[in-house]
Amino acid sequence: MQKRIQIVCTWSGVIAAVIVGVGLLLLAKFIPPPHPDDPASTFVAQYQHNLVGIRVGVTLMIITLALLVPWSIVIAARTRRVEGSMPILTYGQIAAIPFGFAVNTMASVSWLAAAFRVGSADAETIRLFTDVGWFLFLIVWPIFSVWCVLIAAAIFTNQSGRPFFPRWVGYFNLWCALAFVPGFTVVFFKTGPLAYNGILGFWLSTIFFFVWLAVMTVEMLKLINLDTPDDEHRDASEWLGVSTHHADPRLPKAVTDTTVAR
Amino acid sequence: MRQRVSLLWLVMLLMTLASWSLGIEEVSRPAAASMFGTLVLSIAYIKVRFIGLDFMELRDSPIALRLMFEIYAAAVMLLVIVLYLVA
Amino acid sequence: MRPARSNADQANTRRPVREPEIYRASVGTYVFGDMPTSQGRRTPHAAVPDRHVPGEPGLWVFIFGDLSVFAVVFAVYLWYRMHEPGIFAASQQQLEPAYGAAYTMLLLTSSLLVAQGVYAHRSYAATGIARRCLLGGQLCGMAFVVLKIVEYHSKIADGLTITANSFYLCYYIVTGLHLFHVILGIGVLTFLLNLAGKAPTLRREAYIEGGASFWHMVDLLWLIIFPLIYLAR
Repeated sequence: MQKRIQIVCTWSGVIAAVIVGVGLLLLAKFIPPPHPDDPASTFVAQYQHNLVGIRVGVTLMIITLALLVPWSIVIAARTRRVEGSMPILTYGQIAAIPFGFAVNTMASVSWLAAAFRVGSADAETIRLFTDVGWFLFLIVWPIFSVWCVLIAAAIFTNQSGRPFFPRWVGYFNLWCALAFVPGFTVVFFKTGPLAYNGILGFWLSTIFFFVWLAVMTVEMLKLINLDTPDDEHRDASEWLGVSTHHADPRLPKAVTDTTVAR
Repeated sequence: MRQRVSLLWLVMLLMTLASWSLGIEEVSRPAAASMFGTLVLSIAYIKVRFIGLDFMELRDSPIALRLMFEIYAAAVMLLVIVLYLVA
Repeated sequence: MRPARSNADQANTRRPVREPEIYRASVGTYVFGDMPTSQGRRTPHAAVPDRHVPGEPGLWVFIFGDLSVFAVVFAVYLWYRMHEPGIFAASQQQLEPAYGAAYTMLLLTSSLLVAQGVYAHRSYAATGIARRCLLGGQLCGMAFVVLKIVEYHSKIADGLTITANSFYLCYYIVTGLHLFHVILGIGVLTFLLNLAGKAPTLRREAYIEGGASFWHMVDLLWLIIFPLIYLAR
């Protein structure tokens, strides 16, 4: 049962990533981002030419960011399994996940608000709301870097003897943590490679984020496939103090026989 | 092995000084400046290879890793030199 | 009647079972074990066996990845240079190659010291030599940071900030990103100093090799940056 839940959650993340791509790229045409240096009228024109596409695409983004939460929780849950009695890295991940995705969702809300009042608000306000959206999208890099470092730490300090990600995934997470760093520059520049449409400000972090999603998904699926029913029983005994071994295998797998594990 | 690394350090130091003197040469013709620039970048490639193969000990590493490093170094320096000359 | 299966048959039909990487990694004995040196005595370590991955394989994912990011940054610099050669040529005249050469020599020396530190740790030459070499390398790195702050300060005092023109934008991006890596490297060297002070195990040796490789990577990047930015007009 747990295995099925994990697989569903992992695949929900894959679907999420694909839909975000479709939503932002094709429907909303928000990738590539607009030039921050363009006059405000360009921004208004971009909204007016594609109003429905932007609204639908960005709404899809909000939905799929929510779908990425169960995906992320699978990593946290597996980290819990390899941690000991004080699962700090697990708690850290559980805290980082909503932080990051909530702020990204606010970015979508900002764009939707701009699209909502594109007829009546003045051009500079529309541009400002678009800027705020891009800032929220990119400025949230620290928590994603912290999240990657937490995963790497979990991989490197795993002494539990239970299967977990291979060590190269830890190094890969460290690399991604570094790659997200240039996001802080977008508030300083309106043009150039460090602006929110620039190669270092936007493209590096975004491409890395999707590559990171892909790599982690593949490794997660490999890891989940290694699970055996014994793992579930061991988890139950260790963390719940109960055993799900029951006398009659025809009975449903409810916790009917509670034997205290020693 | 220690002697080799120390020797390479000295060699690279001398190459740095040579590059420096080549780089600050005042040349009138842009073609000559490009030539010096290419020379300086090529010296850099040699230094990069020394660091990778001897300091990072990739000479004794599995062929795949060493090949990856050689390809990376060659590709990056080629890209840099080509883009430098195109300007 | 079917003939009895002999052992030979079984051997032929059984596929070789390769333990998934994940198991090996999770037990923590991926490339090295927590094996202390034999009998606790300090015996000279055998010469590095042929075809040995410095550090561990996963680390090279990180190193090549970082090198690729820098390759992109170099390409950005050269792309801007292609589009505004006049500004780049004029601004490059304002740089002082003496700084660049000093940085290069500092980093080359620090790489040498770090490499010697690794060798010393590996061969248990004498107590403390490894630590002293690594510390020397770290001090050179810190000198680099100090000199870099001096250079930045003099530039900014002259009004040549990151927004001055496109050359200085690229200059500060490239050197700033490299400076960040130098600072990270100093942190890594601190970790290695800590390790070198403890009883040597194969695992610690691998970490020291790996950390040293990261420092050599930082040096390698500067060897490309120095001619590219300071010298190649």
